[in-house]
Amino acid sequence: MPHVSEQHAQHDHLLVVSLAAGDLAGTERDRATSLITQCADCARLHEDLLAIARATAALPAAARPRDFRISPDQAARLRPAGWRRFVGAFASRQFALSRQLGIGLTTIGLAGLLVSTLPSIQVGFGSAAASPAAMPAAASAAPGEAASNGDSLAGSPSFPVPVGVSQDRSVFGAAGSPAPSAGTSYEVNAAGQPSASGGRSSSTGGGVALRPAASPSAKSVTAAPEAPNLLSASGSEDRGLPLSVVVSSILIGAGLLLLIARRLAARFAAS
Amino acid sequence: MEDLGSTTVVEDPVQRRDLILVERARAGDLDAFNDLVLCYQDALFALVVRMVPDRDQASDVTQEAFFSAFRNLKSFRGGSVKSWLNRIAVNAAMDTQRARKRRPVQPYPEFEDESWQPPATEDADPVHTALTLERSRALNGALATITGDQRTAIVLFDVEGYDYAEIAEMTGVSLGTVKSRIHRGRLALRDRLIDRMDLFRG
Repeated sequence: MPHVSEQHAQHDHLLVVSLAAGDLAGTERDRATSLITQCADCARLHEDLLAIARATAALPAAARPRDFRISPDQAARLRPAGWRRFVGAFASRQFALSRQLGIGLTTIGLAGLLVSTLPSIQVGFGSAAASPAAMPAAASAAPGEAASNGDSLAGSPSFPVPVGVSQDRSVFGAAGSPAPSAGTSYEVNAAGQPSASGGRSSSTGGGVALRPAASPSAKSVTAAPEAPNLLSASGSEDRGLPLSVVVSSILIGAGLLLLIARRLAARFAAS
Repeated sequence: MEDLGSTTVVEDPVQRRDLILVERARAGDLDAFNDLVLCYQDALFALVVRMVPDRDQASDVTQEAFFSAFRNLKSFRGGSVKSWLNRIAVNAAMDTQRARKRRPVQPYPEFEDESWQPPATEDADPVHTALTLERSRALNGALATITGDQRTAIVLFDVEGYDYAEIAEMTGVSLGTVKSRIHRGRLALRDRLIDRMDLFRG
């Protein structure tokens, strides 16, 4: 290693580099020029930098190892047609954020779906679970009356009726309780509001009320919570899905579509 | 499809030829695109292999650059086809450099292979040829050890002859950053070559 003076170590080497690159003007150029005239090491550095720049510019080109022409097969893959072309666009730089966007939309959709549906489910199950005696009480609230009519759930005191879920008659039968008479449908009002239709609902206010549905051909017992009835399969009061659920579902769908499209596009690009 | 139009007013025969080939390639003529590849594959590989001094990787990057050019023929807005291809190759090489930075592997190999030898002519002075070869090896070895950003800037400036503004636009950084990378890169090269500077002096 050539000797470098301590004084040279204190000099502004970048100034010398800038001078060698021809980037200086005015006072800075004067400073750099005086540096290389007064310091032999700075002058050597300047010369070396010029020599390196010359050598770099004159570097011979490396020999190409292979032919880079594109075969017809490669061309067909690179310029796909139809839906592959559409999906392939998702691999481009313009859609670099599509994965993050897809994850974000799906997450927001799931959160929205949970926020909009969880309270109703909790309320439904909560009221049923909070008073385990309620349903039996309700079901057997007027045993005489119910029994006399022969179309109530009397006799199945321990049967929990899931709110919002339609129960088939056979289930009642399997539970060891007398099945409601054919042609009669019951609705369990989980909100604790006795449903008065038919005039045979329980008056105990235990959280579940039974009433025969209007349709004589119905053969199920339907829970009808006050909250949005999402799970109702045969609800007689279908009020449709709330807007928040619809929007959340759309967000989830869009997010998943983006993720799938991105995945497919990456696969096409890799192949 | 955008009409390149300028083919009628371009006087440079090379550029006119390139624009005609691009137009034909845009219309679906693969042979026209491959003619362009034949014209520029040597230059593009030479550029890429300086930025990504691993021959296998450089070869892949060059191929990917031509793939990208073929895919994006419609995005060509006229002007120099060579500059457009160089830009695509520089972007592809920089992507590779970034990936390499994220996932460091072995350092770039020393350039010992014969492919770096300058072409020997009948009347070439053997001493001069040997000196040129040795100088090239030393310089390529030093280039391989500086940072990718500095190497890119130096190659584009010193070898390809782009100016600061063009390099700034190509690499997506400011003019000052380009200057700084070139200056610091040259200083780094000098530090690495200080024991072999007699090869370069005189």
